[in-house]
Amino acid sequence: MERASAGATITKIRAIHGRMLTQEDYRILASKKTVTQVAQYLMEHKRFSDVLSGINVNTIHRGYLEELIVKSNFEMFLKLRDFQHLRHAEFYNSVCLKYETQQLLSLIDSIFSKTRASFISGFPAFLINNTKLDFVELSKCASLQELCSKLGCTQYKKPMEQIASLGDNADYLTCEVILRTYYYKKLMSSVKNDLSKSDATLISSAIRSELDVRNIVNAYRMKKYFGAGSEEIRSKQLPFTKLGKAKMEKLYECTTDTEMVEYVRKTSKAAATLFDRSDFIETEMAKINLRSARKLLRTQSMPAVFYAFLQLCDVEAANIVHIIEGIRYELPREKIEELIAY
Amino acid sequence: MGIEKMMLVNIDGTMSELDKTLLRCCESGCFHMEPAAAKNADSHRNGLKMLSEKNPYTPLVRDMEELCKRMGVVTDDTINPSEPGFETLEDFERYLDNLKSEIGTLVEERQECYKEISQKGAAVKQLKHMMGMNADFEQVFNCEHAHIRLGKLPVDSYDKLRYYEETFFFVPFDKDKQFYWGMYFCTQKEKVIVDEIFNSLYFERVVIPEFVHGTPQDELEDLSDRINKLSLRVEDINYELSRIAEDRGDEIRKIYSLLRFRNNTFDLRKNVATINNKFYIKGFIPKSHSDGFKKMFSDVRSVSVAVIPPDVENDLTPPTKLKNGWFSRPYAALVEMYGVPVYNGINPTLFVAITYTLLFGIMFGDLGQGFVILLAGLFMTYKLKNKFGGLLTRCGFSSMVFGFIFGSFFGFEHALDPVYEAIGMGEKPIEIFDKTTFILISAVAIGVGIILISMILNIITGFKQKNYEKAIFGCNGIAGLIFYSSVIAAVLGMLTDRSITTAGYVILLIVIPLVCIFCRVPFSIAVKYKRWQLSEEGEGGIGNFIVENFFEMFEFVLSYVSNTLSFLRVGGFVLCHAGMMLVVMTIMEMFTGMAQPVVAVVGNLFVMAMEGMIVAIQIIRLEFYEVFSRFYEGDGKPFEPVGATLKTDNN
Repeated sequence: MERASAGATITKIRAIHGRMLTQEDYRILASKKTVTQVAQYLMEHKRFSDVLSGINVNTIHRGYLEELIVKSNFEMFLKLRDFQHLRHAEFYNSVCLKYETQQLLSLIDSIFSKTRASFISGFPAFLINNTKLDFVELSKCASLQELCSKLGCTQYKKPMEQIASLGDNADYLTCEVILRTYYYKKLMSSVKNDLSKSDATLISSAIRSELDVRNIVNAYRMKKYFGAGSEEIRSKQLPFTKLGKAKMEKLYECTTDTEMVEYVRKTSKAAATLFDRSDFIETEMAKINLRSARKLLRTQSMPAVFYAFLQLCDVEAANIVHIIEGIRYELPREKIEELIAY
Repeated sequence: MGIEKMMLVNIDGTMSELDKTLLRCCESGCFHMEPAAAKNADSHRNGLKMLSEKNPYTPLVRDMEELCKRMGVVTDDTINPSEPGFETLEDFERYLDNLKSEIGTLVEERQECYKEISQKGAAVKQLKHMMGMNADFEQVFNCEHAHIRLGKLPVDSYDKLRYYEETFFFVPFDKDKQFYWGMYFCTQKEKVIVDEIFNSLYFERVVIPEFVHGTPQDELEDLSDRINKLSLRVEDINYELSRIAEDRGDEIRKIYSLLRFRNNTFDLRKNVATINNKFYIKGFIPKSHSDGFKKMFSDVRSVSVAVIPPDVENDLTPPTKLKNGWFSRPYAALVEMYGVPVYNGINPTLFVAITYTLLFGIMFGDLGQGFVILLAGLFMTYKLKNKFGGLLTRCGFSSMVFGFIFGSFFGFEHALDPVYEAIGMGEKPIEIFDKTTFILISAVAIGVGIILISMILNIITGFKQKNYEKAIFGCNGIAGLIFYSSVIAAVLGMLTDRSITTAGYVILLIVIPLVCIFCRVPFSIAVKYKRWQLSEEGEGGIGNFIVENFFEMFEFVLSYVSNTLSFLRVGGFVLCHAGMMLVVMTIMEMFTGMAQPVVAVVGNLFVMAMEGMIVAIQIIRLEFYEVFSRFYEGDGKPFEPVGATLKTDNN
């Protein structure tokens, strides 16, 4: 019965995947001249017609359009989770954990930059009813210590204590590494505890690959733009790898960014294309993630398909944001297309 | 039953006679126009220039269409080539000006009414969301110390309001799926910050029109009254306009048709070339019309018409006009759906007509149902003037013939027994469920026959086009024909215990044709150019050639088998039809009294609609995939005489 229900969820996900924006759609969207035209196209597209049905395309704000798309993805995942009565499985709640982590980081950023208003305006309201954290109260925090004490009785106690212990040495990047490490540790443990062995192997391998790419990009940037040494680079990495610790260590020890690029091309098949267009590393990173997600989507493992779909929707939303930004800054169509991962 | 022979026509004359010449070409109804000068360097060297003028009739056509729309005059595609009093462009302009001044005031007033209704309607929509506000708009907006904005706030943003510590209030009046409608207010001192906050929350302002002053309730009543009055006035104006349209409708339609004709005739100028105040027109006419066409220009002194063979100019491909008899004519639409044949190709319409009618009759054999289809076909032909009526009539008749052979009458399998006894046959010729193997084998035999004829047609076309690969060595050429028919004969021999597959038979009739097919490209090059070359381009080595042709051979052999077996569906549908009617009869027997005929009628209608459609589609599939793919390319240019197909581009 459970297997049949998992099959139904896979079919449901694949049906929605079939409605997602195609390369041709992105091409058309990139050729639009105004946000109104983009909104109009998305409103008429089967993927977003329901979500955008009530909006006035002539007056819609680009930020609101983006928010609606992200919100629709979030709600879709909750629906898929509840479709198979998996509300209590930690793995399927990782979507909420991910958004919580993102918002905590955004809050920390606003504390550092003392721009509370920007945190509130950017805060996704759909999270209010799906989190145990009281972001209204948290948003009033003026310092990291205050934030740590308010999060004392939540699951974030440990990472926040770690942040608080840094005292004046705390910077945003370190906080990000600590919180993201916490998120991925939770995700990995939920994968291990909630899923079957074969599903867990499949997903944890995909996550580790994804983090390898992210770590490689971080290391490359730190080396290229800040001339960071191996120790500094190592301290800012997320402690997960598929490529292997030894290979990653060797990468951190490269003396120049060019050496790093060469080393990655030689050692990592998955990340070999990462530096093909060095001006568009983010896009290339998204493309690598897309490839891995599409592979997972073809499997018969429901959790793997669920996780892959999460990745695909994130990339799709990011592509739409890139297009809207590109149009706003009046970039030519070709430039916008270069920012799209497909 | 072929393709109409064409002649190339060159017309030249002085520019003053161009319009008259184009009109005559249109009136002839048999002139297929081509660009008079190719867009290449030669034409420019000769000094020939294509005419590229702005069509002065187009704006008038648009104006006229707009006027017709406003007046409710329905226009159609009929062509009116002449009307007394309308010779020049100025005549049309004058007529349009008069018409505009006659109805202009009414139309303008109606536009004003619509505009006001739209404005007031938009205000009503907004006011409906503000019904919770029990105060005058005037008072609200005249507050001295409070800053007020009316509008809508996304539902998500409303939830975020409690995050802010600034002093402001948002009062919702109404809520829908996505927005809270209401107003926010704050002190004048804080208005900049609060406006910024609401902007960041995607608050959309609603601008209340100046004419709204009182409370939403009062204003709503006033606005609704005004909208009703305006709507009544619009109705009056529409009545006035419809009266005018009724009085002058015919005249307007005639002038519109004439104007459109002139507009489209002028459009033909883009295919005309000019040099030194002379024009040149090129095109094709059917050979049978050439004398009549020439005569049409005998009274125009400066114009000369030269009729020459169609292949004189290499860069012009003659169009294809199919010549079909009364039986095959309705099937031309099916052939054209695939594409018309090339000018020197074969017209497959008769072949399609025969095979389609035959297959439909076999697959949908029922005397009663066939008769209904025949009647439907006659009704469509003579009452609805629909071109598919003829096709239905023929298929219906064929269905009746095979229905008689199968002894099926509206699904009653023994209703015709007395008829067979009366004509001395004793019983019906074929009892479907007793002869399933015979039916299936016959279906495959019909398929083999059709495939063989398709191959022969391919060989004829190949020789006509001097394409030796297609005609001799191809899988549908002589080699393919010999191979396919020999294999079929061998299989027949095996089934009937008469072994004919001797070593000589295999080598001569199976192996050699296969080698020919394998080496069709180098063989055809050798025949045509008297040299040995593995491919037309001369690229690729022997290894490449062998691998490529090995897989192609595999595909050819597989297609012989699959295409032949594909005809099993013909037999399958015979059984399917009988089976479906058996179900109808069984259901009918489950009922009693008046319900029985109702079930019989509904069941028959259902089978006719569903199975009829499926059979029709399946035969089209067989024709296009199994038959056309063997010999027919369908990439000819259809014959489109100017004038006969004139339609405005602006519609």
